[in-house]
Amino acid sequence: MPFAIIAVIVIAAIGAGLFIFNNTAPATPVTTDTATETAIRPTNETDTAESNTATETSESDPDTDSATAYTDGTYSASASYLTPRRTEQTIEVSLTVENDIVVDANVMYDDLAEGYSNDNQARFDRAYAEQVIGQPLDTISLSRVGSASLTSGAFNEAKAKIATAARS
Amino acid sequence: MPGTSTPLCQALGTTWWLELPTSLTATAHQAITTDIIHCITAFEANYSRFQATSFISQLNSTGELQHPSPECVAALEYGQTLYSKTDSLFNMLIGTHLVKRRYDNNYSLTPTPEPTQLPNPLTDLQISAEKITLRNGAVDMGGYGKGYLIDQLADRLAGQHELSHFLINGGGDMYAKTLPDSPVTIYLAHPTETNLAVASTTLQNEAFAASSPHLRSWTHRGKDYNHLVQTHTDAPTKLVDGVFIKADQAASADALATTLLLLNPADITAFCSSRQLAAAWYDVATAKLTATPTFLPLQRL
Repeated sequence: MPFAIIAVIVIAAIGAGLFIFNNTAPATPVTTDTATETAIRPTNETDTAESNTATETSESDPDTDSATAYTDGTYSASASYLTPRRTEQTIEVSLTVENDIVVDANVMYDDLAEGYSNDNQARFDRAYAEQVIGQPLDTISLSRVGSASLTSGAFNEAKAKIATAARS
Repeated sequence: MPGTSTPLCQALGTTWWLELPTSLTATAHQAITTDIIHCITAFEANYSRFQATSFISQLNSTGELQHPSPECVAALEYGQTLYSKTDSLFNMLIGTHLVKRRYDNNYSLTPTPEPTQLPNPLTDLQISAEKITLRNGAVDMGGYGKGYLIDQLADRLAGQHELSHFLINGGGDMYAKTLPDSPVTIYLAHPTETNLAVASTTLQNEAFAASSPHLRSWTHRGKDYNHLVQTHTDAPTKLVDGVFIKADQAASADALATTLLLLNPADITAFCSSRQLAAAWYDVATAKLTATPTFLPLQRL
C-alpha cells in the first residue's frame, strides 16, 4: 500500500513576529520496530495493543468501491503500555483512509495533542512519520519540490527506491 | 496546470521542470518547450564558469571581455547590486576561492589553500558597454545565475509566449505565474533527507529559492567543505540546515537564500526583518521550521 503524508499543523507565534512550526512527527526517517509498526497499520486497527479499544468511523459506503483493500473512513485505537520504568502510559492513534491512502493521521499521548513526556514517544513519532506519510509517493510532482540545487536528482532516485519498496 | 515529474532538461548542474497550461495544443506545447530548453542551454553556454568557452570563463582566464553583449553587462551588473543590497555578504567574485577548494569543472574536491583576501565586486569588476575588466578574483554566478535565468524564462513565457500561468523549476528554485485566486502548492524539501518534504506552501506570481550547507558538501582529509565562501570575518559558528525564500524575482530569492546561509541563525531574524524578507529556515536536530510572517501560508507535513 502506498504511504501517504500526515499534515499536522502546530503554529506558535513568538514575539519577534516569527512563526515556528513544530511538528509532532519530525520528518527524519528511522528504523521502525515491529511493535510500533503494528500499532499504526490500518489493517491492524483491532489488534493494535494489549488492551483498550479500537473503533472505526466509516464515512462512506463500503460497497461503492470494491477495488480498494480498505474501507474508507476514520479509524482510531487507544492503548496503554508500560514503560521501562514501569509507569503506565496511554496512546491514541487515528487514521483516515481514502482509496487505500492514509490521508490524515494523529497520535496523542496521555491526552496530550503535542509534546512528549519521554524520548520513546518522540522516537515513535519519528517512526510513525516514516511509515504513515499521507500522500502517495508516486503522486508527488518533482516540479513542485523546492530544494537546494542538486537535491532533485537524489530525490528522484530515493523516491524511486521507496516507491519500489512500498509496492513489494 | 498539473505538476510533473518528467524533467525538461539537465542544465547548470541540476534538473529542470516546466509546467504549462493544459489548454495548449500539443504543437504549441512542444514549440514552447523547445524554445525554453534552447534558452537554458544558451545561458549555460554563456555564463557557466564550468563551461570553458563561456563569457565568464573568458573573463576569468584573461581578465577582460571585449564588446560584451548587453545581456552579459546586465547580468554582471545585477550581481554587483547584490553586494550592496546584502551589506557585502553576497560576493560574486568568489570563483577563485571555489576553484582553490577544487569545486571546479571536474569536481575534483581536493582543496588547496584559498586566498586570504576577498575581491570587491564594485571595484575589482569594471563594467562598460565596450569592455568588462576583472582585476581580482573570479566571477561565479552560482549564487544567483540560476534564479536570473528563471526570471528570463518567466519573462519569455509571459511575454513572447503570452501564457497566463506556468511554473518553472530549476533544481528546486522556481517561479510560478498563476491565474487569479489560483495559487500553486509547492513542497519544501528536507535539507538532508531528500526523500522527504518538511512543509508545503503556496506561490502566486512569485519566485522561490532554497539553499542548504549540506548539499554540494564534501569531506577531504577529515575536514568538511561546501560551496559556501564566508565573506565576512565573523563567520558563523553554526549554520542553519536549510533556508527557503520567496521574492518577486527568482534571482533575488536565489541570492538571498545563499546569503542567509552565511549568517548565524541568531542574526537571520534581524537580517530578514530589516529587509522584510519572506523567509523560512529549518533546523534538522529539532525539526523546527521558523518563518517570517510574509512567507506564510505554511503547513507542516
